[in-house]
Amino acid sequence: MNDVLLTVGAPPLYCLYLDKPMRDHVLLQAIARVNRPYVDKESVQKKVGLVVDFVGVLRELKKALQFDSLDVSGLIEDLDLLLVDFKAKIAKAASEYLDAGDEGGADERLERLVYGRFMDRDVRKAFFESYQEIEDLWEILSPSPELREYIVAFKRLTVLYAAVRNAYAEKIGFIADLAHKTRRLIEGSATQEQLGRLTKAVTFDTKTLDTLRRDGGSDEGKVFNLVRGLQKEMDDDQNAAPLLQPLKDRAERILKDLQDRRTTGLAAMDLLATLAAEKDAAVKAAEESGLSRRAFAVSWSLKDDAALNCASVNSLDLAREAETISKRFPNATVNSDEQRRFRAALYRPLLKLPTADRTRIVDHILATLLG
Amino acid sequence: MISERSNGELRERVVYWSKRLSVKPRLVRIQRMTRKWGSCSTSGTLTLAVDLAQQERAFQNFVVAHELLHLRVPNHGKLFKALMTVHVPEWRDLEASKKTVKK
Repeated sequence: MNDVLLTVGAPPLYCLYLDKPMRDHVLLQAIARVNRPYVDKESVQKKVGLVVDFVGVLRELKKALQFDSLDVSGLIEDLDLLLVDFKAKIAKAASEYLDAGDEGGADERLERLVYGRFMDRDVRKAFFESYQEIEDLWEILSPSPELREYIVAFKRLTVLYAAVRNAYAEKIGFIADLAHKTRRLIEGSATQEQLGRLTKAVTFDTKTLDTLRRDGGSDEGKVFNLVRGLQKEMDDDQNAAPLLQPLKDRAERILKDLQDRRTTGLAAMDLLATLAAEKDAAVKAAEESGLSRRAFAVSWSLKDDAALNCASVNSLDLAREAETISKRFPNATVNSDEQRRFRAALYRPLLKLPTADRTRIVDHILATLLG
Repeated sequence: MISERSNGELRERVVYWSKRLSVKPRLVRIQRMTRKWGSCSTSGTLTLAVDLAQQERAFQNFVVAHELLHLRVPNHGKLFKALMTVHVPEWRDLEASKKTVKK
């Protein structure tokens, strides 16, 4: 029934049978559906529509038709109130968040804003909340000629919102959630992807780092992009993940220090450069060893292990042996019996170690190789 | 006696908010409610919990304004929330505090 009532461009209706109780606006719409005068191609006029009421709802019609000019004026008052609220809020937000000075191009100004005060989590939270309120008001009030003079400010706030959301997202390619009308407003001038242009996938290695250092733009932004690049590398290659995880943990700590303002963008870049050098060395050594990435991660993570060194077990030899053993148990990940036998075989090269260390290292090898 | 006086205070709140929101509840009931602080029916009946009188003024305002606003906007959509923000700016905090107030 509702489909029939609301369809735009539906064929003219001459007669309406009311067979279920309706009231208020639903009843009003139903009656209005049969109430439209119409002239067809052969100039046959429809002047009246017939309503056949089987349930006695016409008693309700009187009430439905009294729709109150009071209701309508009430709604208009509400909208006026909201417009005042909107104006106050957008003016406050614009003066608070949109001022980035006059230096540099639009992109640079945006980047300065995003990696400036928004580094602080609480500032971001307050900004998101205040933007959400403004966006909600926009969705309610638009379209309205009263909003015209605020389009520019609202667009800039939206671009900033999306850019901040994207810049501090954990993964690249995050797309900020914008409400329907707002998205349409933005679509003319910028795509969502463009809004995310501050977030780039950059490879985490010394070469990229050097290139980045020579580029303009904020160091903070580069740190975020580098750490995200490392995350992406781990997501893309599950086998490289065990080797990269310790580096990632340290990179995350640097990022956190930066966010808590315990370090500067420049200093963070230096620390990341050290990590990148370590990573390059690890990757190079991994290739030379001829081991699989996972097996190499075993050797790399145990190379400074005190217990191993004490028993003069070479971590690279251990990793190589572990890999050879692992080939005998290809289903160890899923088959618990195979896994048990794999574990038992791993104990053999570690017999010289004290029991506690032996167990710890075997656990570590299993976790690294089987994921 | 106490309950009559506090009922009077609650009714005052209702009158104040009815004027401010320009709505007319058809009937205001103040009664024992075990799970909610207030409710509002489409036919215009406003019901408030009798123990709301013992709560802080800000919380009373929040509950009364919320229920009366339903006479304007029958749902909890964007419009409802935006209007709540205009009339009771700190309503989100009050709503969060609702969970800690034992009902």
